[in-house]
Amino acid sequence: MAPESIDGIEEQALKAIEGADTEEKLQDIKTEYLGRKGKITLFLRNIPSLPPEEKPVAGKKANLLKNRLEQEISDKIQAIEEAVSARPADIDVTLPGRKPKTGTLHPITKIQKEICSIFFKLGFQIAEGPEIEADWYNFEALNIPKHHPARDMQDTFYISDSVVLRTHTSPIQIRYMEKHEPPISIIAPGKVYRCDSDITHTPMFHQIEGLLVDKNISFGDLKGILESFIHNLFDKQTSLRFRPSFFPFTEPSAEVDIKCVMCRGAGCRVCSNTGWLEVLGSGMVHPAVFENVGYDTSVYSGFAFGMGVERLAMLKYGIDDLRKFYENDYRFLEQF
Amino acid sequence: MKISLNWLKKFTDFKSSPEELAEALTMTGLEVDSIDYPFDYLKDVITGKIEKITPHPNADKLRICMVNTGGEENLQIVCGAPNVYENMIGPVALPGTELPGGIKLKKSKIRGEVSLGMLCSSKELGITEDGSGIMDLPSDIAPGTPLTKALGLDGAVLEVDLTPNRADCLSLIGIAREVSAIEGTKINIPSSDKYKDEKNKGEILNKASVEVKDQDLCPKYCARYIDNIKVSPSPFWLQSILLCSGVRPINNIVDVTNYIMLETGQPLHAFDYDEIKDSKIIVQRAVDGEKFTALDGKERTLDSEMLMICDNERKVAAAGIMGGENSEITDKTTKVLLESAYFYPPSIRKSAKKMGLSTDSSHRFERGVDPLQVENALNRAAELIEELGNGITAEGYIDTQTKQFEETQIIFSPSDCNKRLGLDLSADQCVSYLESVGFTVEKTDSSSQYLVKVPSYRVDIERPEDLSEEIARRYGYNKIPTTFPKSSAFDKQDESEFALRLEIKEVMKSLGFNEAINYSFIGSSLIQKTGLVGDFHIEPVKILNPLSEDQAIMRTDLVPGILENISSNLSRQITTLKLFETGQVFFPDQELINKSVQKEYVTAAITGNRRNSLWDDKSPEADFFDIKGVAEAFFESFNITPRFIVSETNLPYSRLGASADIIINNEKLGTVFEVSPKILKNFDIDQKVFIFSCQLEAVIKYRSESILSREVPKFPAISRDITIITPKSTQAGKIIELINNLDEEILENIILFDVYEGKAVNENEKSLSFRITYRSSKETLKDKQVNKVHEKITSTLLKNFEIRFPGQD
Repeated sequence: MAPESIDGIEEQALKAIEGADTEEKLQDIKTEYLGRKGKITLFLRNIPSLPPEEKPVAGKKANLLKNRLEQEISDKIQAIEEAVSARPADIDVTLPGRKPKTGTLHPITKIQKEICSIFFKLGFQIAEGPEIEADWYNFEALNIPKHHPARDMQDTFYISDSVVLRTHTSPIQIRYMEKHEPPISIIAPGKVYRCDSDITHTPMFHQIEGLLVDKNISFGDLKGILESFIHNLFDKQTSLRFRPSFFPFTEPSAEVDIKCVMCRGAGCRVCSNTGWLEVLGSGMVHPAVFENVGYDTSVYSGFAFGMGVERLAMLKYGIDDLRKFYENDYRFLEQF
Repeated sequence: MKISLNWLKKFTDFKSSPEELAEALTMTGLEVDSIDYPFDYLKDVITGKIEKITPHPNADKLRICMVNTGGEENLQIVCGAPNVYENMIGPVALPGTELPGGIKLKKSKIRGEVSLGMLCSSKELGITEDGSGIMDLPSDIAPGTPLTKALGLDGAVLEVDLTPNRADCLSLIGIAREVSAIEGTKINIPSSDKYKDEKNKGEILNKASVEVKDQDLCPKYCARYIDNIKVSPSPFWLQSILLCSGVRPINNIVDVTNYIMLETGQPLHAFDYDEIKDSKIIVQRAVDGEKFTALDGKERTLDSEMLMICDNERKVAAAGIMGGENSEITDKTTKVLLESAYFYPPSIRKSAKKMGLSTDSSHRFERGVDPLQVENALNRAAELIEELGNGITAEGYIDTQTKQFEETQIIFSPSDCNKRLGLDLSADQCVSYLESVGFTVEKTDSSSQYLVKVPSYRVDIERPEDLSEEIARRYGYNKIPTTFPKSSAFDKQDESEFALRLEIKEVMKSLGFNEAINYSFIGSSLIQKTGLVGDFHIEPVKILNPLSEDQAIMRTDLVPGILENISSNLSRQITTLKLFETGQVFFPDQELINKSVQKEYVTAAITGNRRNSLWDDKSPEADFFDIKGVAEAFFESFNITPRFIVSETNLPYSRLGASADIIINNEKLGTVFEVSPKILKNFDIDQKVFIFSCQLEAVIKYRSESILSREVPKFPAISRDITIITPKSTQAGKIIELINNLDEEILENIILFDVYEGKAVNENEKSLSFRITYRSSKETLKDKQVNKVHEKITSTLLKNFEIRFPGQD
């Protein structure tokens, strides 16, 4: 078969390139003309059999065409690629994404974590203790003798005459002091139990207790630590108010109110229009407590404080009903 | 404690408004809960004088009263009460007034006669229970006066929430002392001059005798005798004070004892003298099993720790708590024996608790009354009864006291006090603060110390630290400068497991679980529902005084609570749930009763879909391998590699065959399982539930934080697939374990990528396909090396398991 003329090839090839609209087709054209068995390749291979006078011209022409086609094809491919990448994708970006689903921590855990980390940063260590507790640790060692009216402050669940469900986290103080010599600074979170259930009380709730014992600790220091804590938990605008009160294991004792975080002190439903919220009980450790754990009261002094975790979680997360904490409604839990 | 400010004014003439006073009291430690005007609802009721009474033309029982209410014209009011008389002063409710019970008065016609208001009884006005007739008010009250003003019911009443240490403030005098210290006003404490020197002499010795057999519980008992008593309602002024103090008026005798108790804090009791057998009072402990009927009409069984007031034959009162029915004051009483005593506080508290009785009297005695007020209160009461014209007091009173009450004395150092408070007060300042609330301060030989004598009513003050609170209270807590403690305690390491527990929760959160918190106590019905009965019964720790049967037992397992949570969420149409809880479970310790065993668990449950379905991706239902994967991922995050083995013993609530034990270091520390359908039915759950539960101890003990990084592979891997056909009962886990145990250096890992049961294999068979990856860390592997190991694996499998390869029969 006689080889086609170079001009004929050129015409054919350029037409084909022009008509090609995909990269695939262009690759085919490239193979058809420039491939191992392509038309130009065959033409070039045929040159030695041409008459000597035609050889130089045919060779030159064929090589020029080869270069031209290569250029044309690559230009066209680039043009098509550009056109493709300029074309909008065909998806509805408003469809919901495939969201990896993580779980949640219970709001009590969440705020416990936050409170403990504030005290952790202030230099306190965490201490824990048993929930079923001996009367001695829960009451007597804390200067609450049997048959003392102060026992009425805490409605107690009894396991036996001398064993109770701890009514507060304060027994952790005693257990810790028994095992450690001062100076100590601890923060003690945990579940506590009281025989009381209504719209503002659940029979189980959470407290966090704090204790600092060293030489020369004063009531002013107690105020400093608590102020720093409240400012970290809420903000620096949240002022504190200390009121004289009574806890058998502290002297002097103080209730701590904070400026209502809902109304900023203007008065609202949450603070019963007083502008203040009672959030902490505190005081200087009573010498009888130190005597019970064998600390020298002439050398050491210290302060202790305790707070209800649920109350703080309610304020922090705007939860309006205490009972929600223990209903474990998924729609509630998922919010935290 | 309710404090009528009108009454309080009689003790100290404070200038503050009720709001200011409430704030000041609160800030010195007497928390005021509310400021009330309890009779504010009567503000539109005025007094009226009945000028003229005429019969009603159309009704026999009604009369027409012309009432002067201070206006220009008298009002015509139709009245049916039998006790009206001309010139009587009574309360008038005018049209528009709303009376208790919601009746709104209107101008009306009664049997054809116009009535422009209503003359009211005390009951109709909600003041007392007396509905026998129109209130007959004192004749000196001007017509048209607001009733509350006329009766002294118009003042503010403070509700003070007293802490248990402030027994002294359970009296008007006590509150007045605080107010006078706040305001700097003088205090007027009423005392009886008339009777004060009559101890153990005079007529009383012929009238009565007192024998205290148990002096330890009753160091002081005083009594007086009053005769010619006429029992009747108290005058309005006395009733008003009681009403504002929240005490129900009863009769002039009982009311006086209550009035004096409110004034002084000293509870008194009046016996009907004629009911005291042989006029003899004996104070002694009861005998076990004796019975006593108190004023509330209930019979109680006594024990030998309870102190009783007896006469020569019977018990007539539970000392310090409540009088007996047999000797109470009645309308017929003409002679009274009046008691004022000091009882040992813990004894009163114990008895009151056991009797289930808490009274105004026991409340005060158990907190400690002022021992030096006992006689004065008795004499004040006698004086008042006489003043009201209700009796004649016999000369003299009995007092059994043999030993003086000891005065508390404290050595006080201003510098120690300053150190404790973080203040820099002068000694004079400290002394003056102490003196302002009744302490006596004397100098000692040492210039830095003072001797402080505690007033008898401050039973709460025992130590120098107590005095520091008094000084801080007076100085003002909020004026104490805020400082930051310097302590080397802040440099210590945290050794608690709290951080780890939090980490465990965070891991569960990252695995998609929501944290639940359940009560630590559950009911026996929940235990039964969960199948923890019969052979599975675990003796729980029980609460002696539970709030309800549902909260009577300390949980021994977290599973019941989680199942209940699933059930309640399903009933709210939430069907895909991933919940976890960490918490303590409790077991009794047989040997040490004070040391019940507490173990901490983490328990997680999946039910419903594996994940949330999406628009192009319908999630399959979760199955056993979802929960197992959670357990695997959980342990992996603590660098623990447990073994999962077919459970040796089934849990009461796990489905047979779908339970694996989690073994770490040959210790069973957890399980993963499907909940048995029978148990799910008990919880009304109609979809499968899968649970992972493990002891926290497993993580605490076996977690490893040390990570040794391995070299990233440099040479290519070669993988070979192997498919085996084996009986269904063959455990895939054992096959993998065996291959891993060959410990071949070039064996990188083995993955089970397909499990097939169906037509291509026999009925009791399954096929398992593994992909084994080989790699050397030193060189590119050659086929020959791989083939050698692969053949070894194949032959080991053939040796140890009943298997064949596809194409073989």
